[in-house]
Amino acid sequence: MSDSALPLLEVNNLTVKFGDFTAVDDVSFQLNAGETLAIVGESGSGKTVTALSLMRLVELSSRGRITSGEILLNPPNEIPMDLADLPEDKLRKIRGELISMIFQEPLTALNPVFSVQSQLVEAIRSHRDISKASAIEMALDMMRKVRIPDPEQRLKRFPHELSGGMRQRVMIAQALALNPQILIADEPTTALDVTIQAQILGLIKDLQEQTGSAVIMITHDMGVVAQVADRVVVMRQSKVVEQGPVEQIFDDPQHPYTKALLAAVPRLGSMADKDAPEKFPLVEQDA
Amino acid sequence: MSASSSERGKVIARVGRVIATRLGHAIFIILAVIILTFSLIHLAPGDAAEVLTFSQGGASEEQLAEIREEFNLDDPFLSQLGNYIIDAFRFDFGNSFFFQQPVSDLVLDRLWPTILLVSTALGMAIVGGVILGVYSARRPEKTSSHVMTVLALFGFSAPIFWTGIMLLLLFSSWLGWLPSNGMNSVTVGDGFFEKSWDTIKHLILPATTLGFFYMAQYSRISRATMLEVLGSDYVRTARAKGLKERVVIWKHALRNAVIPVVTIAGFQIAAILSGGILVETVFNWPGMGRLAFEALLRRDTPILMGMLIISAIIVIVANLLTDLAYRLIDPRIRYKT
Repeated sequence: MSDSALPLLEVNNLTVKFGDFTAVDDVSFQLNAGETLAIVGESGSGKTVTALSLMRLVELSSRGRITSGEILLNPPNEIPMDLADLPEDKLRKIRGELISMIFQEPLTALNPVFSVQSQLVEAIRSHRDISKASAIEMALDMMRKVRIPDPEQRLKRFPHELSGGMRQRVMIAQALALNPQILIADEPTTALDVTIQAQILGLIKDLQEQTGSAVIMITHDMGVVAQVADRVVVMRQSKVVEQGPVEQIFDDPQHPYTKALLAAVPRLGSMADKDAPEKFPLVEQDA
Repeated sequence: MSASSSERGKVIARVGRVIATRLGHAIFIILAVIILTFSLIHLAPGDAAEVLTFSQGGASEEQLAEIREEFNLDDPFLSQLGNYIIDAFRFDFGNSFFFQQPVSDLVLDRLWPTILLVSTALGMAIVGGVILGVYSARRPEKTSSHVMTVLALFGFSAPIFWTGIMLLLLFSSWLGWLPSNGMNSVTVGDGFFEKSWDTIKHLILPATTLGFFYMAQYSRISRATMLEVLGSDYVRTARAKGLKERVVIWKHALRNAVIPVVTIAGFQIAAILSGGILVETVFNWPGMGRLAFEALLRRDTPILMGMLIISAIIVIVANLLTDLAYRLIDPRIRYKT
């Protein structure tokens, strides 16, 4: 049985390669139950590959391979396990049940040829031995929780009949339907407009409080980090360059790249009394 | 009325509108086919009465005049065309010069064997092509995938008549497993099952010959679309839900990957019918293709005209079915009329 003092997820020295290219290099971090961990970094820094590796989707979806390291999952009332070593049939039971994921692009993340109901019911029934009617009831309940208006009608619609924000809500409903221990949100608001972004972040936060799930929020937006994160992991060029509590990272960043990231956040009035925009302080490649 | 039954009613009404619109278009297409074929055949040099009597060793001027009168060949072109259009819409395509029987009866007798051959070949091509394509896309780097690529290249490079002759030599002449020609053995009894089994045995080689060519094409298309679909976000979502790989591939990925195959198969119905002529000739299959081939050699224009019109109807119906299948598979199309 798991020890409640242990972190819920512990990633140790994880390395992921695509052929000879190292996409994730010796990455280590921890995630505690109920907390929100933000993984930040520029495009190509290895954030998404790290997230996909946690569910071992990197092997199936992008032909990458985990060459070394551990992904220790320590779910309450269950035996701890190393996801990096788990066979595919056991991993399938963890995906969607203990760890769920929502993706950046809600427009393409749902299958266009199946109705919302069919996709939600399938997600539930692939892990729970319940009738279709009960699964529809659960799906409807989740649609209400993610605040989709007129959920009975929306449930019968196809993805192309819903707006981007609504589709991301459906993705969240699908991901949280089985009360997973960990929700991985891979830039869930990047493809949405600003007002919808705030709604989706608020919704994830509310549902997290209701369910007690831990969240790994992958983003390049420090504004999002400040809004939702408890702790932050900063990645650059496949490596973790800094990590710590959110206050520490914002108040006293140590690494030049973290400083540059924070400096990149636009501030209201920062252009006052200046004729032209100032050159952005770039970080050296080998920093 | 419940919400779901009213929803179903709306879908049925939409499908009904699609069918009505397509049938409306079909009348104009058939009219255009009749006018074009009738005009082309009448613009061709030579006198139909002379052509008609040529194979019997010619005829005197009086006999030729009688024939012209019997078939109204002396009437003005527009009058002949008008009469032909009216008769054609009554499914009367005149009498065959050679058989002296109504063309509609002759063509209808051969319609079923052709539909059986073409639909079996098309079914084999789509099912076989998609299975091979999916298999190959799942393991793109494996030797078996490369072997399939070479086989597919061979499949659509080899002429249909050559493939047919090779299969005949192998399975009929050398191994003696399957009959070499016709649709039924002379000695077969009248019992339904006995006759059906005999027809199936006769069908295997011609349907494989015709289907192999298209199977090769569809396997390439399926492989390419499947490779693309397997990298899509919704397949990643399906895996992230914890679905079995079998469900991810054969449900989530395949339904999207099969859409281009259905589209192309719809376009190719006319080509498959044309390919059927060669196959029917090689295997002595008693279908429309062989009738058309013989009518061409005998310059039996009423049969050729009737065949063209009926082929046009088959292509129109097949395209309508493709359109409906397309809507069934992809809801994004379903809601457009």
